[in-house]
Amino acid sequence: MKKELTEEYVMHVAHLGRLKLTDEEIKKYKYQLNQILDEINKINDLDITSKDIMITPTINNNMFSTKELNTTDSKDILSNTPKTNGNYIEVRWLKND
Amino acid sequence: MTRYLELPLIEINKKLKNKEIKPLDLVLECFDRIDANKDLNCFITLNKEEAIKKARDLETKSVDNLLFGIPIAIKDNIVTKALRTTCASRMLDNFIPVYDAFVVEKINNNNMIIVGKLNMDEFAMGSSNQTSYYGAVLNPWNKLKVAGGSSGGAGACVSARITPFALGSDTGGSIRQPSAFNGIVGLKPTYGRVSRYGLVAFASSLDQIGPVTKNVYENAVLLNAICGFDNKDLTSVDKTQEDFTRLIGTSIEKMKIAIPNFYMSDVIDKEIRDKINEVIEILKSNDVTIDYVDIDYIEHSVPLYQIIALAEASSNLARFDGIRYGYTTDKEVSSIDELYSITRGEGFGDEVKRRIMMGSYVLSGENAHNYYEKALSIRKHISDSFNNILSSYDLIIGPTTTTLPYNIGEGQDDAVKSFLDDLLTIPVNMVGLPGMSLPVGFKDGMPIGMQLIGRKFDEVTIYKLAAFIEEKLNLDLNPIGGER
Repeated sequence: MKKELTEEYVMHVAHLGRLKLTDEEIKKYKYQLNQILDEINKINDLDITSKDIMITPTINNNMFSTKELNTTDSKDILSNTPKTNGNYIEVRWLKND
Repeated sequence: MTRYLELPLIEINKKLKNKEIKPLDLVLECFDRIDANKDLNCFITLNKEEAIKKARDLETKSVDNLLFGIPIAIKDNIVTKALRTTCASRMLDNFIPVYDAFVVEKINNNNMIIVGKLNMDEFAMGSSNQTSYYGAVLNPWNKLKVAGGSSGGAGACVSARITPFALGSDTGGSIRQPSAFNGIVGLKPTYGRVSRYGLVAFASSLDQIGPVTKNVYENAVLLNAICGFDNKDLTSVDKTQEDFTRLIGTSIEKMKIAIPNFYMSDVIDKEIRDKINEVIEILKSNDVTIDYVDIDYIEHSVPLYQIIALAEASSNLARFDGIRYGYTTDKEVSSIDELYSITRGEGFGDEVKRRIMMGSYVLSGENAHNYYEKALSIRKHISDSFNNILSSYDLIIGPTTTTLPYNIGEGQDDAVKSFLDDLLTIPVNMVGLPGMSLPVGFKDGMPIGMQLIGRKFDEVTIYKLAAFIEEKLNLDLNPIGGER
């Protein structure tokens, strides 16, 4: 069955991605995301019998890092932060309606 | 303007050793070339002051390796300490990294000189460099045409002989496709060959950093410099250091090469297929066996990529929140969620927003099973099929792209076009194999690229065959000729 993204669903996935869209963008993305979805739905026609999956091509095993943690000066870490207060990241005051 | 940067690397190295020239001569020539080619829009940020300082510092040191004192440009999704790194996005327009990527450390250890950060599609999402916040890159062969992407800045920069070397990154073809469009050599190494530490993540199971150069030998030399085990990247593979130039110039007789039937089907422009067929005839006449083969599901690589790459991207790009670093909105907001969503809505461009939403879609609810898990099963099949073919053949070859470079602005309303451009390169990322684009000719004055795909960690065989073809064809690949 052919699936189609509605405007409501576009707003839902925009919320999942934390993206504020304008009404105009919602209309535009509805059209464009459906273009992509048409392409993606082509895999529905494929009959895959094996359940084997490949998440990554790496040949390394999953493991916990054994390396020592790097320490970086907090001044460096905060050097790109829009607002700081001493060694803290300042999040702006949020107005409650 | 001097023209040292157009010389073969070995000759530049000899002149540096003989003290006929200094690194500063190369750096100043490079910035003259940057000025003369401003219209191409290759660079987002220049590193002129530091580059000149480093060139002067090198005057007291001995020339101890082939890359010593040579200018290089770096794609702007590879972090460089104290040098702005934007990913061609408004989101990171003001971002100054506090550490160097692994590959940047390697470049610095070899005493190469970083001259600037290269334009690209925003967060490496695109195949024409038209999604950049800083505007499109023009193709040096015809400035009305796209330079390809996402490493469009790297492609145009090396093609126009601005720098002899560049580093790009490749998630679905982002080194190979612009290399094909610009008539240069670009390699996506085996997944795990080059550390991704310091590469801003797009799709972590597909991303690789790789060398972009004007010829095969110099490409291998740059790979020698940037590879190696890195314990800061858990997908980095611990391999003995090898010399990737070592098989260049050796005999290609008795090599066995496979060509996927799909790669020579009518979805590829006839002019491109004709050029590939000419190379095939050369190979056959040099005692190389060529067979046509089928690879399961290879024609479905675009939907596969749209699911896997966008799922990973939606997760990777969640980190840009406008609070810890990067762009933040100055609009009044009433909740933390609104602060995130307005910042991200304003900070990301169209292509990135589309991809985040599509990635969120394929991972949400039952879609995670219907789309994402199914895509991973198909990926496994394709991987098995590639490895099966490569157990009997030395290499797989075919075209890099389905079309020649197209006009800037073309297909901008088509949300699928940027994916279709990578139809022939995506499978290589899915499977984690090494792949190169090599220039093999022209049509209507625009370059055509051939793709060479090797076994995992067998880049040397790619370089061996590529160097043979390069020598046989002996193409004039300088778009500026003797004019500038």
